[in-house]
Amino acid sequence: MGTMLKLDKVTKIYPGTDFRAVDELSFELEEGEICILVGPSGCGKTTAMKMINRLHSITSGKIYIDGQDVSSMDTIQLRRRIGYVIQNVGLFPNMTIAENISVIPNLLKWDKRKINERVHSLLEIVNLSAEEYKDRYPRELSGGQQQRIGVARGMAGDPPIMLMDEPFGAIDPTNRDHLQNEFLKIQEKVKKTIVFVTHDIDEAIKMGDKICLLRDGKLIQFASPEEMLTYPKNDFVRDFVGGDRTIKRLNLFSISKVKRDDPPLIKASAGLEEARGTLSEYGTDYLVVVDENGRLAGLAANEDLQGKGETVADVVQRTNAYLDGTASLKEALSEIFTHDTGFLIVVDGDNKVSGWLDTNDIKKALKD
Amino acid sequence: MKTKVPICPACKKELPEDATQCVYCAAEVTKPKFREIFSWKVSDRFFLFSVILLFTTFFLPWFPGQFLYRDEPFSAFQMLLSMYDLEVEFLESFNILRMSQMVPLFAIVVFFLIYIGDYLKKTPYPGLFMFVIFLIGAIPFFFDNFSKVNAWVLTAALFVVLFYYYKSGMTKGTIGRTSYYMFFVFFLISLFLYLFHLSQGFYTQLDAIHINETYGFFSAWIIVSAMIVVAFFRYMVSVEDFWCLLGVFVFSLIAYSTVVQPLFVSGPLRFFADNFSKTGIQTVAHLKIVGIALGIAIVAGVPLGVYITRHPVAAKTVLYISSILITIPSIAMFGFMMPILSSIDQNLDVVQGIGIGTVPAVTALALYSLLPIIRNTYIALQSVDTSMIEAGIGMGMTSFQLLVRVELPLAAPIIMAGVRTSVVMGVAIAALAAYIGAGGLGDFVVQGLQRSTNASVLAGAISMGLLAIICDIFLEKAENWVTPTGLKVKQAME
Repeated sequence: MGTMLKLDKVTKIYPGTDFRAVDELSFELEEGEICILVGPSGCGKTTAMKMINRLHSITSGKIYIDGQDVSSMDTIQLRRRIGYVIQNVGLFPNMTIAENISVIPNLLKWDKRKINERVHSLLEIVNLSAEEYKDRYPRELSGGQQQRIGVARGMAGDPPIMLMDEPFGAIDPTNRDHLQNEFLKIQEKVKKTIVFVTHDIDEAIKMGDKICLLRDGKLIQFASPEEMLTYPKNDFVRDFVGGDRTIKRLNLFSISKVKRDDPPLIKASAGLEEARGTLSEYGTDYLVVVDENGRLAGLAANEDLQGKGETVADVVQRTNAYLDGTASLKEALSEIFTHDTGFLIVVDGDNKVSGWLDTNDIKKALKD
Repeated sequence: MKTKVPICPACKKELPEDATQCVYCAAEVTKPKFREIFSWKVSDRFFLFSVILLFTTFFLPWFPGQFLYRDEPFSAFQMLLSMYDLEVEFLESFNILRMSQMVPLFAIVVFFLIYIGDYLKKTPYPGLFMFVIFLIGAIPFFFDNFSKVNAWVLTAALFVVLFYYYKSGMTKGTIGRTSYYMFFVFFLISLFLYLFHLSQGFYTQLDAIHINETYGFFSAWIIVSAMIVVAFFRYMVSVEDFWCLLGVFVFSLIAYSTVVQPLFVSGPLRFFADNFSKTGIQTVAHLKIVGIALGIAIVAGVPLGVYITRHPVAAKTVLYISSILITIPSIAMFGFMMPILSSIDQNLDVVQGIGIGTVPAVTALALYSLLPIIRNTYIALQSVDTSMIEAGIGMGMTSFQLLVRVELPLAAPIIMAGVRTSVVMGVAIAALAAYIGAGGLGDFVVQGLQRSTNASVLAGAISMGLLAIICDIFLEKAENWVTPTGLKVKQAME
């Protein structure tokens, strides 16, 4: 894992003005990292990104891709080596999906069979059936599908670096969330180095390995999302990430890292007497009831256990107070406050109970 | 003819006759062209059959043998073949030329009416056409045959009837359909009357005539009558249709003297019949002028349009100049071209005889055609979504690759619309080319004006109008053809 992208004191002054749109911006990016350029509008984030593939010329400073200075490379060849995805997608409506995706491979003069295979594999990566979609036209697709094709097109030439200019900006919030998750899954598979522009700090925190916060062309803080939320460099950063930055930090933790492994378990076949014993041992209001295989069956409340019946199975009640281990702490917190159990049950993929956590655990995680 | 069962192109299974989509795999079924013609309804097949029969009468005994000093009666076809042996006065006096030409001509027109019937029914043309015929047919008749007061009353009544007809037709959306049927019936009745008219003139002037020897003409007459009867009952769907068709029936009898006779017997259509080959030659000459000029305008205009989108400073100048060009009166433009090109002619040995005729006409017309083409190319390229251009450049397309692969395909329909405007305008302006000796259909107009023959002027005007409409229809198809499939597909629902 070497340095893939390096910006060294990159400055942009538009001709005829004194204003430094980008002012001595420097950062380095490891291979496979997503770097989010974020900042208020007019901060130079798009300009900075467009200098990488030289859609904007560089006034001074150097940009290196894989150690090579971009200003020494042929612009056309350079751009063909960099994937480019824009906000309005910009799919060519006169071409089919397959033709759209194979634009760059065609420019790179790959042979037909290789292009065809590439189109199929890319459509698979973005979760669209190749047979169904490759001969259709962009207008027949929904906005979300078009954006996925846009991402596939950006990756078609197998570029080491991708530039993405607010790719999810024009999509409604529900779909955006879904597409972000999809995109992160795709990134797991392809591991590209990505420079991603957005004005949405939530998106930045969710997607980024590194966040590069700009204001008036100057780099304010370059850090991982966690670092930026925990140790904002100055008031501007604090304001920009928002007063709810602690809540936002919750997004960065998954439940499985925080959960405790000793939930107040009781088997459904156990007698009430035994259950009452376990209850007093834990000191909680509820017991987590599991079946013979350890799968979640429901909850047994304190007052029900004091009543009539022989086994726990007679008093068990169904519950929604559980989450998968991959969910974020933010979701966990929300669930805890929704239900009056006081704690959250953590299950794994098979619905087996693997742990539990309450608000104290979350507090502890944030302090560390 | 036995209709073939359509077969799905994807899964090769047999489908119901009128399926447009495969029942099994939902693939689209495109029928071959000939099936569309032969899958007409019964009455359409009857008309088609009648047209073929009508055409065969062309080859049936028609004229008594003594015309060409023969023993046997001979057909209209044979008459046309030996036409040049006969004297002009002789041909004129018996309307022989028209008689021999009319059956194939009308057979073609009837066929054409049926063939484009489905298209016409959806357009406003039949309704508009019927409206015009009603007015120029009925109103002069009223004023010729009634007192002034009565004629005004009848005219007002006609307007009220027409108003209700069009109003109810518009609200129901049936205006195209009923007008088409009315026009069809009107056309057949006029044809019937015209045949009657001709035969009267012809047979009453000859003594030794035996109908059983020359039955060809009467066969045509009977076929047309049968078509009228079938058309009448076929198109009568509602009670309203009955009244409409009855009105047309009466109107046709009236309009024969005011519309059909002036058009066919003494007017421009007679002029066409008498100048059949000349009309053809002039049409070709006309199309040649417009076509060459258009070719030059496209070759010069499209690259120029592309150039000015990349150089905004030049755009203003170029569009300004071409706007000025189009404001020059056309007759003046043709006038300018002659001295300019003659001086080139005189000073250069390479080119000769370009001062007059086709060359100045084509040059002037090309200059006129430039503006719509340049402007449409410019607007079309300007309106290509900037995000596509950004994506293309960002992916490493060169400016030329972007132009050829993305911008021009997307701009093609708008450029084609400019070509359409140019052609329709060009067909009209080329009429004036006759003044500088370039020929074309304008010749009829120019000569007609000089000799005060209205038929010739009208013939020129009508033929140019028709030519413009036909060119427009073809170019509309071409526009559809150059539009990328991706722009025609249905937009996805979000």
